[in-house]
Amino acid sequence: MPAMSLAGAMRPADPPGADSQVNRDLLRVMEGISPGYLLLLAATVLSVVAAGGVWIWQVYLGLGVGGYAHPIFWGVYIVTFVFWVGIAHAGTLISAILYLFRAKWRNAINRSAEAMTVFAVLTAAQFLGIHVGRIWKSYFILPYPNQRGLWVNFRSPLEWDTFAISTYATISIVFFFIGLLPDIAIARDRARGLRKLLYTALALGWQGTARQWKSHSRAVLHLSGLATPLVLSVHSVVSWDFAMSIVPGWHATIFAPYFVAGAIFSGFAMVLTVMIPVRRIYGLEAYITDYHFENMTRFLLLTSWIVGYAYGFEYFVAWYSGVEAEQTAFWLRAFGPYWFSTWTMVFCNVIAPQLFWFKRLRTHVPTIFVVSTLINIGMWFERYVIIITSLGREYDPAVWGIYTPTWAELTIFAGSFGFFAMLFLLFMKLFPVIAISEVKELVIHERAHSGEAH
Amino acid sequence: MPALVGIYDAPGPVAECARRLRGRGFTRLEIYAPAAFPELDTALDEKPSKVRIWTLIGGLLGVTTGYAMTIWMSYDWPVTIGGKPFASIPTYTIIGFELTILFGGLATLLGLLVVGRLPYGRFGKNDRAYSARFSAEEFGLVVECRERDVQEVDALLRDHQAKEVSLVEP
Amino acid sequence: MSGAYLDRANPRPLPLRGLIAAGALFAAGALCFLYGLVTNPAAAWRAFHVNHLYFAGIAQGGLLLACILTIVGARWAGPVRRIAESLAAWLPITFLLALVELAGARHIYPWIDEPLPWKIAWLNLPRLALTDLTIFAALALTGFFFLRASLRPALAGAQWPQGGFGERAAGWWLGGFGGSEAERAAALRTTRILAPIICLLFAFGYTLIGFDQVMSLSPTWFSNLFGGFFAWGCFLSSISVTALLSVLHRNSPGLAGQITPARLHDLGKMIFAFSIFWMYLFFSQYLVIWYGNLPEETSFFRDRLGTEFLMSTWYWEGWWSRIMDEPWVKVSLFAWLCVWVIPFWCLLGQRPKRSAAWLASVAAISAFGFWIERNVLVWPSLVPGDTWAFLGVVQVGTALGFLGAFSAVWLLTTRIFPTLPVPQSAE
Repeated sequence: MPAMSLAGAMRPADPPGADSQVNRDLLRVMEGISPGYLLLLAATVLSVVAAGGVWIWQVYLGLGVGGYAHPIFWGVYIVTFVFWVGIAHAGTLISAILYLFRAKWRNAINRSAEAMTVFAVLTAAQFLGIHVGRIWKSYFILPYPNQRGLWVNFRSPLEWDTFAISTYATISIVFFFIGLLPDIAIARDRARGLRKLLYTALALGWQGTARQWKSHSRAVLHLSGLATPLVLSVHSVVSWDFAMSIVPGWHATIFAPYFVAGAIFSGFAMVLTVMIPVRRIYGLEAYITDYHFENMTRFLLLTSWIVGYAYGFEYFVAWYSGVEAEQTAFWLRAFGPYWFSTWTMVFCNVIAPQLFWFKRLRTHVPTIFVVSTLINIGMWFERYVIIITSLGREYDPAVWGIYTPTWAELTIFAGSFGFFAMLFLLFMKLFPVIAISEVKELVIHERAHSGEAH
Repeated sequence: MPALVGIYDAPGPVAECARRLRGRGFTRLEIYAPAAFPELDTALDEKPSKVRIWTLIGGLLGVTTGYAMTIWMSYDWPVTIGGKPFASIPTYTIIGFELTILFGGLATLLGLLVVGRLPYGRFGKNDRAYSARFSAEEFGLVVECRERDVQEVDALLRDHQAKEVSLVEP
Repeated sequence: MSGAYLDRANPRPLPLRGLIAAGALFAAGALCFLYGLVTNPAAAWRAFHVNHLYFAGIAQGGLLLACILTIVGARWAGPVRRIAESLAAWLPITFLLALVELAGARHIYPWIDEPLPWKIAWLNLPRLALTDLTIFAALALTGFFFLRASLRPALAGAQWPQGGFGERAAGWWLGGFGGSEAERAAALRTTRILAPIICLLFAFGYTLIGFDQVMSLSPTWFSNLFGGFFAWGCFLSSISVTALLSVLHRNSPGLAGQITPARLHDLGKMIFAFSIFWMYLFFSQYLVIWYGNLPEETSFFRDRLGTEFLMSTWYWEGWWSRIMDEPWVKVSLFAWLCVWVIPFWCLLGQRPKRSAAWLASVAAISAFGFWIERNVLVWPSLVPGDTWAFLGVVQVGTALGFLGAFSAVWLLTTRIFPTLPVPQSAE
């Protein structure tokens, strides 16, 4: 056989040393389960179970279990719904918009941000079910042919919400999966046993052929193009749940862009809050660097200013409008019974992030962690302020009221964090938290250009 | 037919070598890469990926569905709500928009699967030339050729900085 | 790499023919305006107002683009950044024009003659003059310091023909700047410090300008997004103008070979994406007002889009006549066509964005569309019934006068300040 004359003619085996540093570093996160991890997972599962129990109790007794009372029928559930939808925006922003802008610093964080998007949407969507009075009729919101011959009301913002949230959930899952595909194949080639079976099934036979990569890049590009306006639309639609009404403090044209900026702001803060401990525990300092923190915190500063801009001009135009109901609503926000929430919101969202003007603090991890956590708190309070103060102080002072969350609502609220954390913990052990193939793209590119090719 | 596998460290030489091979009439080529590189996109096939057509058709289908569904349903059982017209175009724009994205996105996924030929292979079985090295950091250029061309192809692969060349039996 | 330059400055002689044409245009425009002051002062001052806002937006938007490029450390733009910066030469003039305009304030702001008692605290002339002049002055000053720091390093290497006007101007601009590494690093630092400040000043300043100079023309109307919408229009119109000028001057000495298809592609992407965002802002504002249907809010849209786009309509029957017969609707829709519909459909996909002629045409349409848009924002508040009030010898003449003056300033700037060298980012 002529081929025998070729030097080293053998089937390309998988030599043990053929794996790359990047693979080893990043796949290691998925290996081994420490007691601390188990404890944390158990805690999150427990909080979800507790929330589930309370929810069943609420279904049995009715929404009075929560603090819902005249005139406030949108409480912590809706606040938390908006909060989680907001968190869900960072993933798409990082994956899609920064992809289109060719910002290289997205590479280390996009995977975990996409995962957070999916989990946050799933968490948020549950609150729509928790919030409605008769969960067994919730399918009425879908336009399906029925005996009564009725269709849904497409003029209702709540109906838009249904379409927006389910579209967002679907597209973010598709985006997440397409991004994961090459990485699942990496894991498949290295896993054994049950995991091997799972990854083989999920990888769909991905081998990284030229044809596959070509369609993959195209698909990512197109999905980014689609997801960018989608991310604007989703929180806009959520904001229109409020703005379409004529409740003072809700009926504002600025709501859509203001909510979108706030969502991106809170989503970025959440990515930082989650990734800082993960980076530390799994030793990912080489992959999530000062460069990433620098850019992330600059982005926080930018969005903080947009949010601050909206706060400011909301107040200004309420005063300028000369409409008494608007003026009163805004006065009471700052100096009424809920002044505490308002000033917490202003402090956390506008004042605290100003620390990031200083270059030293932009890469000082403890500061970033504290500020990003504050921002999460502040953004929850922002929604609380918008929803509760406006509903409690509508046009007629005779029907003004006060709302206090009950322990049932707070249990479910806490459970939502448990649910989100639980999904993220499971994700960390099942899939790579950093997009391996995208990191490799940079590594190989740099190697080729530094002339180090051997 | 036997196949030769060249192993590379960088995408540039792979693309160059593939073009040379195609120029010499070797068409049964395959490239394995650990990540996406634009230079490889045109190495085997210059035409832009057909995924774009899928997205376009999906999006157009979505916007049509969105407006048609909302308008038709509003007139099928007309109910005046809030004094708004039956066909409230501004609000139906939102549904039309969301469905554009939904259908466009799902069509893109479908396009990726169809154009990228996924799912690929029998369960758990890869191509004979595939190796886990290609999901590490190495590139593979696979050439299927007749026995008598093996020498020539081998030389070509090595000319373009292949660090190893090996032969895979059919 | 810090302080490394692509090339040395490449000064060009003054384009006399262009300058003469621009000067003639300006003179004709000034005559029309003066004629208007005598025969129809209201029309003259209102046209002045519209064009003042339009060109101020273009000048300010160019500076904003340069600041954003500085903040994100973008390297794609190359000399496009110089073209955007050169638009900002108009900024000091913006301040002077705002000052001049106070003479005709009575013809522009209806609340001067018929004050609204409950809004008198905000809608009064001294307050407006103070606020808006401060904003224009602050932006002109920060713009000046930014441009000084940004242009000096490039200017320091320029080889001037002996003793020309250009050399004297450049010498004055340089001051004692010698072009050493340390001086260049300091200049780069200055631009980095000023850039975010200018962005914030723009965002807050132009929002207030939008409220004061446009929204207050319908004194009872209010919308808290309006200021942002107005400011975004300024930015987008400036990007269109930058793209147009980049293409028109792609063969000028110093620019030849620099306006690559990749750069055009990026400019095209910006026009495309930002016009979508403009549409989004418009829709956000329109939808809330349409849905709420409160009379104090709908008035603004009724004056511009007629009843077709308001509460009682969106019915099939008679929509054409509602569009064609009601005042201003045609003009508004034409502006919308130029600002969003055409840029969106004509720049969809990769190929059209990379073609110079195609991109320039779309950019020109978009820039012209914004001129119409600015007219539609101002005139219907003042003359709701008269669709063609913005056209006429005085109005068009004033616009052409502005165009002539703006072009002359721009031509002078691009000749004094060389267009090519752009500092490579230090990183």
